[in-house]
Amino acid sequence: MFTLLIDMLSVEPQAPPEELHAPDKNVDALVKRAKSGDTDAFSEIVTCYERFVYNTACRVLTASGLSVADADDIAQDSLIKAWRSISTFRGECSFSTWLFRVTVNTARDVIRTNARRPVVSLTRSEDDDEEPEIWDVPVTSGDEIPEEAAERRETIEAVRRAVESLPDDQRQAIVLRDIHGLPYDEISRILGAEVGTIKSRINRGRTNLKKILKNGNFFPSHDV
Amino acid sequence: MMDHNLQNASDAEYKRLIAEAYPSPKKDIHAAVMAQVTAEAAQSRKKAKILTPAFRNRFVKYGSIAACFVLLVTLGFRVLPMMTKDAVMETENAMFTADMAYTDGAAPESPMEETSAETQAAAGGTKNGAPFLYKAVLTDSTTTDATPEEAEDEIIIEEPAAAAAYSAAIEAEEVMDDVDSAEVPEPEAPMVMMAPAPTAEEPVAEDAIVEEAVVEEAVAEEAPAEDLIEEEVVEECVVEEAVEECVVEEAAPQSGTTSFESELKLALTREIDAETYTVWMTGHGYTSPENWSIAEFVQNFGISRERFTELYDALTAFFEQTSPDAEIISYNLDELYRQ
Repeated sequence: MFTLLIDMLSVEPQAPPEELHAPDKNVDALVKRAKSGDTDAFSEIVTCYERFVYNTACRVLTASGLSVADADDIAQDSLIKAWRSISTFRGECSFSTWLFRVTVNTARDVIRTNARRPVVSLTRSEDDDEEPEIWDVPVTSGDEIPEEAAERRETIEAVRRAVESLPDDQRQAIVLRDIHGLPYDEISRILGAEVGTIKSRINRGRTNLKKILKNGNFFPSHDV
Repeated sequence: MMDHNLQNASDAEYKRLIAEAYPSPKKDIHAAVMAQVTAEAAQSRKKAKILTPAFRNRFVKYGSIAACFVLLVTLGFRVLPMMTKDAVMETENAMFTADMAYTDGAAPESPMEETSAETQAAAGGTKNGAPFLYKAVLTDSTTTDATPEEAEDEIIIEEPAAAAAYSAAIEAEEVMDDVDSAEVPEPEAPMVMMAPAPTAEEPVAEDAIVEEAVVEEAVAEEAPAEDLIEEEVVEECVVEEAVEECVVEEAAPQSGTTSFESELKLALTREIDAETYTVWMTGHGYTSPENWSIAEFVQNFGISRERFTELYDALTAFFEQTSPDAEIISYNLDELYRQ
């Protein structure tokens, strides 16, 4: 399971974080309170892990050749399942690893259900087959004109290529922190490194990313 | 210059590019999840209200009382009958032991003591809370028409009356010749090794074998005693030559002329050999000493005057001492020895 998580991070990161530096939470304390029925603690857990759960669902759906349209529902169901079964979490692994397993199982259940009930999209066109993955990336707003959307796609592809070009240790740390928004201690547990090492990797990864994006003229000139 | 520009690049632009590059949820997952979680938590709390501490306390309190009641009922209807059966067994064993002690010769000397011994044996069953139950079992054997369940009920109901009747019968034993009239039937209840209560004179019913043995012992101790005395007397008379002793031993109960003469004839026969006497009797066709006379015997076997006089004097002295009223016959020695 952990290998799958690392593989996922190394292949294609999915979701951007709303906060670049998410406030670190004492995950263990939150989980303990949630296990006792504290909904406020679980609310904070959802805030910390919803992008991670969503990106995990997107990764599983994408690996199966499916659209990420169901990722929202999968993420929602996964978090509700986590609430219902959080009492079974014994702390033998990190909470993110346990939550990743719950999400993957939920996504696979949805994939199996959809396989038994194939649905033919009435809006499906030949263009969908020609561009299977790159166009699954959603635009940030729907009221943009098509020309601007085309330019945005170039930017998205450039950023993804820049992330994938990073060294493995930096890329994994960047994805887990800046895209999934996980706390440092969780990243430390997943990658098996000290928190200080993780922070160093993240800092060096961001510097390299900005350098790549600057070379590609993706940064505004006044920031340079 | 490049590094400096990168370091100065705003974090906001970096976040914007990352956010554009990777998908984000189309709907508010947090709100949807927390709505569901809150609803489920409310339901859980509503269910948990049922198991409040006060409810748990009441459940434990009344549950314990109910459990104790069930336990008592179970003991009363299941275990207690088994215990009473054990008590019956113990009582019967005690009775059997007392009976064995009686047959072994350790029986009480008086019927009252025997009754107290049985009472003690019965008291052995009271320690388990089933006093006199063996007596109820005895009485229960008369209710042959009852079903097993009814029989058990009747045992409990008729217990005191049966015990009283049995005790009265035991106390009246010394005036009863017939033990069966005590109305103590043979035990028919299964699983009960009943040993009938012995009486002062003879045991009852099933102990007939023991009773016979006791009677035989008693007969063997009493009847042969007299026989042995007689045998000893005969042996003494045969072995010893002193006629006086024989006369003393045998003439005691006799009296009158016939007795004196017969005793004198008996003393004379001891003077000769028994075989010779038998041949003589046969030769003359005699069957008893009454067939021959003293003169005939004295002359035939040559009993001297002196010897005859000794025998006569000794026998006369014996009769005078033991039987003053007896008629002592006088003989004329000249006539006896004349022929």
